[in-house]
Amino acid sequence: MPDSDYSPYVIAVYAIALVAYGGLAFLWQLALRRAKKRLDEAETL
Amino acid sequence: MRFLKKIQKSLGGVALILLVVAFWLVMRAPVDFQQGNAVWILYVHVPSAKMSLLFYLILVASGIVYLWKNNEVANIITEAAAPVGAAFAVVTLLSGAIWGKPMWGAWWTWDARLTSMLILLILYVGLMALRGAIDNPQKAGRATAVLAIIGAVDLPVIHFSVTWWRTLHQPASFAGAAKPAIATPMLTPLLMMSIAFLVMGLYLLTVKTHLLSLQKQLDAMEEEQFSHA
Repeated sequence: MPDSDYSPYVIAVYAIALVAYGGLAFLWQLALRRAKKRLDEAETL
Repeated sequence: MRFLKKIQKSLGGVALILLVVAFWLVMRAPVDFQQGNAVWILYVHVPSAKMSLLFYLILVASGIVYLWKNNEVANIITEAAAPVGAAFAVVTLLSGAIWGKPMWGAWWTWDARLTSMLILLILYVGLMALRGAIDNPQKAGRATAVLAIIGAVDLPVIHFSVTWWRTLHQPASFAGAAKPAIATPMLTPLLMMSIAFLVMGLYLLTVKTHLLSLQKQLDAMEEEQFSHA
């Protein structure tokens, strides 16, 4: 069994994945909500 | 559109559940006798790599459909698949570099697998840039579809690079019908994470497709208003 603990590397990778995928999902959902709102406003005009 | 909305919600929910289950399985997975707990990095790295290739295939397939049938939905899917695939490629390269430093002693090496993967990321970025550079949406769609088809030559190079050349990168842990090269306690979380990433990728693809179709609707409305004014 290796003695080294690579936890900082592991945490960094999971953090990057969370930021990349979670961030993309969050930003696109936000943009989707804004686009829907703009479309609703444009249709009522 | 209502159908897309329903699928999108279901995919989001299923992806979240699968990711939680996969993460729980990873936490229970044994450490490797050589790599120690650095092996946990591979549960993000391998599924991300597989998805970056799969989303390029989706991009190429929708590009072919667009060129063949001039189908607008296919054009939107081609546009939406690029940033999703690029995100997977970025995470693949970063996680590979972070794993490589303690295991190989280097963040990066010009190995065939790593280089061909970097080319895939450059292709994704190039496709997005090309689409952004052409004003006419039909012309942009055709140009990106052609570039995507030409770029598809990189996919077999990535897949077979570890067998065609003597590389530092290890061969595939699991591929197709071949017997997996890793033990079941490690294979189970890897497969679960791969399924979770697939559903998450499809969720991101539907969100981006929905967003792009709404933006196109808005653009058309604005153009109509402008022409009336």
